[in-house]
Amino acid sequence: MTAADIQRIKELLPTTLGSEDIRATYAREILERSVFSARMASIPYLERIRDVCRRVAAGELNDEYARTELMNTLADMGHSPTDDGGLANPASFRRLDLIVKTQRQMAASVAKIANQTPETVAAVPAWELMRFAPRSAPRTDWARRWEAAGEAVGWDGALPGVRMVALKASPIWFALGNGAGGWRDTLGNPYPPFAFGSGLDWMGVGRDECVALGLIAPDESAPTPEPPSLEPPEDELARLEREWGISFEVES
Amino acid sequence: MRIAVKLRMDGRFADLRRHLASPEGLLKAGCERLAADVQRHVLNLNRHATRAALDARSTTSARATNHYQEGARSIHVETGPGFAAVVVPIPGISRAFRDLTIAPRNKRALAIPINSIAYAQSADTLKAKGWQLFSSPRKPGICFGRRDGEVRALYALKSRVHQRQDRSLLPNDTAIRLALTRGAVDYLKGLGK
Repeated sequence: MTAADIQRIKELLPTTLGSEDIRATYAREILERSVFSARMASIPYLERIRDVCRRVAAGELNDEYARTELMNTLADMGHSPTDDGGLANPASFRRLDLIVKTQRQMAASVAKIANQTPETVAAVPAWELMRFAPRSAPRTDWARRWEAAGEAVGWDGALPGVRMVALKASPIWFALGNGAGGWRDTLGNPYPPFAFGSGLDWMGVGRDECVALGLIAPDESAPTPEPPSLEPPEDELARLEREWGISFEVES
Repeated sequence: MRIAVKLRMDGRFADLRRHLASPEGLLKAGCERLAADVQRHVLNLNRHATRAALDARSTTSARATNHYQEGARSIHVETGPGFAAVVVPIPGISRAFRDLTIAPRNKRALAIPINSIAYAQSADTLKAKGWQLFSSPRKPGICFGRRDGEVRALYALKSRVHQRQDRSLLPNDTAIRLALTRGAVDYLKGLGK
């Protein structure tokens, strides 16, 4: 599955909520399968975001043209980049840039995880989180975020220290994406971008280096990360119950 | 808190049932998967609003309790003849399913921290740390503390506290049943190998 496929099959999630409320209201899995934008309830605009981001993910459109297409759609709706509101203005350059970059990076990350197999993990068992894209005001707290996330998961499959290296299936990626330690600018995803506008991304770490770093033993095989499910949970549950003839009843 | 689980199998699995000594393996496998998912969910709860609010109006930082993260380590599966349950031994987590009302057990009032100094610290702990606690008739319902000449409002005293249900503390109903079913299906697939 490619990043463009992932964008194409996304559902639209119109909402009047802000970023923090969206994360508090919707489960991560729903957001993963959805196109949404803070305080944006216009379905035609969300459709346009989905289409533009699919073309960006497929390499058919660059960031500048993507932003322009979105800006033109918003202009038809009466929004202008010169309106007040900063990031809250849907037509502001920063907001459009954030949408395009975040959606592209998220789709690429999901595609990366979805394509992991025991073979790919055997060859490249870990990821290192490192800066790919420069930022004019880069966050300076990544070391503290890494430490807080590592401690939250007992450094399970992850290395403490300067280099942010962890097995692909390590729970540290979930903790980092959920802002373990109290960071509130995260997106709730176990993959990059781990915070709004972040220029950090994953670089694969080969087996030899993982052994040298002590992440895995020479005779040990690394676990494969679970691929993100792009099938709505209700549908998957109904399908499994139908196919296997079992169902569970829960009391709490 | 316990999430108790029952399994239903339809008639198509009569053959399979004969191969299974009992359906307990299915129950256990489902619960193991659910326990892992619940653990991951709880581990990733990012609840720092109270501490952040206290920090915002104090000069000192409240000590992080990591209440849910510490609690997540204790989540486990309990099984017995014909039953299985995921045990989530975290105080207050049952608020995921219902409202909670907390009342004092052996004390006259609940002490709710209103200062970062008092966050995650009982009145007894602060006393042991040298704080002299007192209340003032001019500010009823507030517990003050004095230490080294410094006076701070530390706790609001309440006869009871009502907490509204917060379903997001645990995976939603579909996610719980899906985790159970995925675990059981993986177990059945393993039987075929």
